[in-house]
Amino acid sequence: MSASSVQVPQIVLVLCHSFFHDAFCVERPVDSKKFKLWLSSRFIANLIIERQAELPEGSSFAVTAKQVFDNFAYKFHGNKPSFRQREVVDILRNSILVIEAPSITKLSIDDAVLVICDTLYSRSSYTPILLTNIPAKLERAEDFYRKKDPKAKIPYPISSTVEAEPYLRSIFPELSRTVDTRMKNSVYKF
Amino acid sequence: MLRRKEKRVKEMSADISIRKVKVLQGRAKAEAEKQGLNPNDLVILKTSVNSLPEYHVEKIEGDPVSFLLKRAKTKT
Repeated sequence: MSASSVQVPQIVLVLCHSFFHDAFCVERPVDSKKFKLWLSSRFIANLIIERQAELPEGSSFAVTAKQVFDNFAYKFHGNKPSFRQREVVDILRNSILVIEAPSITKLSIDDAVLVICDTLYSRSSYTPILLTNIPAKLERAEDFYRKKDPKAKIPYPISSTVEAEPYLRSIFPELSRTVDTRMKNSVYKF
Repeated sequence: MLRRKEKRVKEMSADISIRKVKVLQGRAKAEAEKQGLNPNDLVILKTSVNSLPEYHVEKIEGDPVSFLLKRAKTKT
């Protein structure tokens, strides 16, 4: 087998509801810890959009469950979305793969993302990274695996956005520089 | 009657996504070039399908998340 035929696993970001909450929060947090989570989530959301914008149709860099995305959409626009709000949600839905399979949608928002990670991990061509800014998610994932086997370990990384940002910067240096430049030219001051 | 109505809605459907100018093709690419956009610019590409697809290209200024949040606040 030649070196060129070795398949490098494809990184897929699996997004928890806390990621959406932090990345699309309009108010800039005052608290320094929350500010770091907000800024790193905003950076990663921009990186996802930037990367997805140049990927061929059918390829996805970030994925979430329908109920996670719907939960975000409802919090974003409420009961009576304006035309523009609905458009923004549609745009985001086209930048993130939203899984609508009945086997996933019947699960809680916590378990749904864990099942997506496990499914992606089981297909050897993908390396999932679960992005969550809720520290208790790690315990939740441990419980999830221990239900089946008390000695089982979580087979994929679970990271906060602050932890994931330097890793993603090392993998996508050029794209990260583009995101930094766009954020500097943003309507918001970073 | 319902079928005819559904058909009309389908015909008028629109798709909206963020794409990079360098990956656009055909008339969408021509529309971006007409606006003098650079290959690395991000755009909101809106495709309305009536009898023939129509492409509307809008340049994203700054970072996409901030641009979208600002856009969601506007009424029109």
